[in-house]
Parts: sequence; C-alpha cells; structure tokens
Amino acid sequence: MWYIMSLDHKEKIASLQQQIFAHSTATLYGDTWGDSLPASLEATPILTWKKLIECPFRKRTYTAKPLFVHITYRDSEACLIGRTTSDILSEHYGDTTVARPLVAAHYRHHAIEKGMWFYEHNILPQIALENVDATLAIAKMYDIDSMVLDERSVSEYLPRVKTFPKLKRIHIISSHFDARKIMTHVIPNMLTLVLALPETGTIALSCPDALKKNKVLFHPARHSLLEHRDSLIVTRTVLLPTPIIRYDTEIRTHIEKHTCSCKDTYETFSLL
Amino acid sequence: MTLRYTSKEDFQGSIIGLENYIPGDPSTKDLAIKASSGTSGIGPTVIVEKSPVQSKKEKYLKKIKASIRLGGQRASALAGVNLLLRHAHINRTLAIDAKDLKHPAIAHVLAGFAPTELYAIPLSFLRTVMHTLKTSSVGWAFRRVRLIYFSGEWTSLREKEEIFKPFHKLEENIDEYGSAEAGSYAYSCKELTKRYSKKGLLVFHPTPVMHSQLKDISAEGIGEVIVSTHELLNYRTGDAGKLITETCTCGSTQTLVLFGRIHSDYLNCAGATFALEKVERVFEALTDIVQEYQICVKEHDDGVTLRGEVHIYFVSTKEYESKSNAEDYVEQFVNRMLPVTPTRTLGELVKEGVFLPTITQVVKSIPKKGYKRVRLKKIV
Repeated sequence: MWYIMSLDHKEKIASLQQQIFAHSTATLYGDTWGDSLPASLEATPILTWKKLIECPFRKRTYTAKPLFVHITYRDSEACLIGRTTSDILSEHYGDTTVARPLVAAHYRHHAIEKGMWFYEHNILPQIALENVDATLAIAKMYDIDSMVLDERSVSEYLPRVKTFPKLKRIHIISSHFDARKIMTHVIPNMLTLVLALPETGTIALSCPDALKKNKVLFHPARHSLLEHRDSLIVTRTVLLPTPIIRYDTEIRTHIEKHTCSCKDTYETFSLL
Repeated sequence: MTLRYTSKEDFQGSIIGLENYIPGDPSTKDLAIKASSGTSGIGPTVIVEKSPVQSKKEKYLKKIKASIRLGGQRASALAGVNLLLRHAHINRTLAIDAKDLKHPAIAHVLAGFAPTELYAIPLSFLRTVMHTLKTSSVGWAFRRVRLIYFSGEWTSLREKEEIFKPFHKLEENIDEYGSAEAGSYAYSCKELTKRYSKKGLLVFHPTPVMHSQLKDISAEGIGEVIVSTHELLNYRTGDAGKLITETCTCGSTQTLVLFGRIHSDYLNCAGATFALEKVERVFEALTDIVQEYQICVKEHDDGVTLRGEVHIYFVSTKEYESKSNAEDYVEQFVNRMLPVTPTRTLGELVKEGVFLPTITQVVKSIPKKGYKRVRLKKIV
C-alpha cells in the first residue's frame, strides 16, 4: 500500500528511473532492472541492504559532483554513502528555526553531515566533543538554543537538557525511539523525532499534534514516498548520489488513520 | 611602541570571537567553533574562529580527489570538509576516528573508498590507523594514496619510513604546524623536507598568520613563535623557533626551524608530571653510560583515549659506545627510577597502559641550539 502517490510523484519517479537507467558507469539498479526500464514503480524490484553492500561504491554512485561520504554500519557490515552539499541542504528535518544548535552523534561522519546542514543554512553549529562534560560547558558559553542528537547520544544529553533553559528545539534522528524515556526529559512542544536511516536520509517526521497527546506517529517527509509491506519500503523522489528506489528499510510499521491539525486527515503510521 | 602579547591563560574558560557570528549571514560558512583543552578547574578556551583560505592550501584543495580525514577535533574536520567541498573540483571526502577503526569491516570500507589523499591531524592517528589495519592488508586500502597531509613529529626517520612503506604511490607528504587555538601557522613542502630531513629538524614555511614574528630573540636568533589570527592578536605559542630568509622552489621566502617548547622546567602529560629536576637526578646516576641526553614526552589524544609516550635520546660515553645493551639498560633504569606521579614511576604507567612503551635510542649528538633536555609535544 502506498501512502501517497500523486501524479507529481509518478512523473518525478519516472524521470528518476530514466536518469538511473541511462547512467553509463553506475550499475546498482541496472543489474537488477535488466534491459528495460520497469513499467512502473510498483513493478520495480525492491532494493535490499544486502544488494546495496554487495555493489562497489563507485558502481552505486550516480554523480560526479563533490561528495561528503559517511559510513553506514549494520552489525558486522558497513557501506559508504555519499551526499552532495545540495543533498545535505535539502534534507528535511521539520522545524529548524534555530540559531545556535549543538550537534551530537556517535560517529564523526554523521556529526559532520548534520553540521553541514546547518552551515548550508547559514547557522553556526557547535559539534559535540567526545567529552560530554566539556561539550556541555562549551554549550553554556555558546548559549545553545537547540540540540540535534542521534540515537546513541540521547542517553548522554537528554538527562541534561533541563540545565539549558533557553532550549527551544530538540531533534532526535534515529530508526527507532524509546518515546517514554524521551518524554521524561523533553516536553513534546520542543521535540521532533526524525525517522531516518543513514543510507536513505529522512524517511518521516513525528506528528507534533500526536506528540502533544504523548503518541508517536509519523508523517512521510518531503521527498519520501512510503510503501507499507512486511516492513517500510522507501523511495526518495530526488536523485541522490546513491538513489533510493523501493529500498527495504526493515523498519516495521503500523498504519493509523489520524486527524491532526498539522496535516488535516492524513495517513500516519507508528513504529512496531 | 611595546606590543601587548596574549597567551592561552588569558582566555581559559571563556569564549572569544563570538561577535563574528551573525545568525543568517552567509559568512557563517567561514566560521568554526573550536575548543582547546582546559586545565583542571578551568574550562576550555572556546574560539569562534574565522578561517582565512590560504592561497597555498587552496592550491592543494583543488588537487584533492578522494580524501580521508583521520582524527582531530570534529569541529576542525567539519570546517575542513566545508572548505574542501567548496574549493575542490571533483572529489569525495570521508572523516573517521577511533570508533570507526573498531568496526570489523573498516579495511574493506576504506578500500572501497579508494583514498588518494590522507589528512592526518594529528599524526598520531595515522599511526593508530596503520597499526589497526596491519592485520587486514593496509596496502589494499591505501594503494592509491599519493599525498599525506599531517601535523606532528615522527619519533625517528625509521618510524616515518615504516609508516609510509605501504603507500607505494606517495608523491608528497606535507607537515603542518599549528594549534587548536590558532589553527595552522606553517607548513612544509617537498623541497623543504628533502633539504632538512636528514638533519632531523622540524622545518616549515610560515603562513600569513605568523607575520614572521618571534619574541625575546636570543643571540642565536631563536625566540618564541608569535602568531596573530582574526581573534588572537600577538598570541604566544610557547614554542621556540628561528626564522631563516631563503627562497624555496615552492615560492616561499622564509623557513621556520622549530626547537620545541620554552619554559619547560616541568611539564604535564596524560596525567603525569615530568619535573626537570627529577629527570636530571635520574640521569646523574647514569653518567658512566650517558654523556648527553634529551627526553621527548608526547601526548597522544585520538579523541577517545589520552596516552603519553616517552622517547629517550642519548649520546653514549666512550666506554659504552660498543655495548649493545646500553639502550635497554638506560630504558629500564629510567622506567624504574623516574617518578611521574606522587605514587607511580614511568614504568608503572607504561604497564598500566597510560603511557606507550618507552622508546630509547642512542644518537651521535644532541642538537644544542635551543633544545631543552625535556620537551613536550601535545598531539591532539
């Protein structure tokens, strides 16, 4: 089942598939699509993590533009993913009207990528050091007004947010969330949960209206087309250096009908 | 007119340069929030640094194709990546640290990235990378590397040769001299390295931030290196150096020779204290073996672990010149006898892993001019 599939989406995806198919050196998709373009998105083979890591980096890079590269780890496997500055700039994180953010992530390449997003928006980020106490001492001096945390930084930073009375936004970027734990430290008004995988970028954003009722529901993010099967299948409607067309996120979801003030009546989903 | 000098102590626990930042202004892209380490009880110095793009650097940025940034401060890496992506024509860049090296697939990932340049500031992280990859085919991961940009001192020329051995296509290595507070002050070049490497000297071409300044210049021309950046005016680095006017094939007209730290009666490293008086007392007991000596204490901070390392260089007395075990004897004696904390000796800290094993080397001479018996190099 597709969450949304407008005519606009269909046109964008058809154009994306043509560009991917016509690429002379990258073969990530061509190898499974065969000699002809898939007739529709529904008819396009699903891309899995296994297929992604089996394809060499140069064979799944569909651009010659300068790239910032990060590493995606999953158990004992790893995969390189490139992003251009314009990809990073156009990533969707919801409400980001902040001026002095602190960015904390377990891996430096992930911290740098989030930091670059702020630079591209003319916002100077503080990048967390390995030492949490030193980072928070600097954050006091810098007078931070927001935090961007990944899943592994949450336990280090969230218990300390109350010592920063000027904080107005906290973004948590992850593929799963311990909502109850998060809500003990942060009031829903200032929270955005960003459902994302390093290989796909942002998939969905938490519904602020549901958060106010202590419920964690997600709306698809801009440029993300979602399909519900045994797990969540995502298509990014922009041409990323490694395009994401029907990628199996392995995230299990449950679709819910929910009327909210942010999106009228809109398909939303929760994580299982 | 008397110049007013500033030093690290003037700024500790404060933030400077914040006035450079106007939210929403495109010039934000030239800024970085950098922090230098704080002493106990006082917080770090935080600098909102405005980075001028130096023409020399820009020339190199344009050449870069596939670079990996190894270690260093994350904020510096972010600023570097920003600079690179704005100035390079076609490239890709990856930044890793010690956490990445723990992953079992890292050698495979680095090989897939196929780096052509490595940016290792500090140099200690390049050592860690090479050590980690030793068991998983370094050559495979780094077979295309042609340029290495680093900051830090080699323990010996042999160590440099060892580390560079897997880089079959290495065309150039550029050494950088600078600090967390003021960024890069100077850099080496191919010609400079060739000309001075056999003399074992640390030599660089100054960048514009140095303004060719030295303070309290001795009769030998050695003085304290002073730098000025957008935020730090007449900043005392604590390093001793000498400026030589000479034209290099790279176009630079000045050479800076570094002679270690000044004011080094005692120094702190990885939680230990090396007091000159105590070091001298230990070596007084070795006068039958040691004619002259120098101790170089290094602090390696790879972002996760802080570790010290001691290198002992000594000139043997005539009686012991031909004895092969002199190095071992001196090393064991210093490890056993030199107290570096109120309760522990250097040897005990080596056993505990706080310090890397002591390295001892007999040399023909200890350079005299400007050298200190005990010198410290912090590698962060």
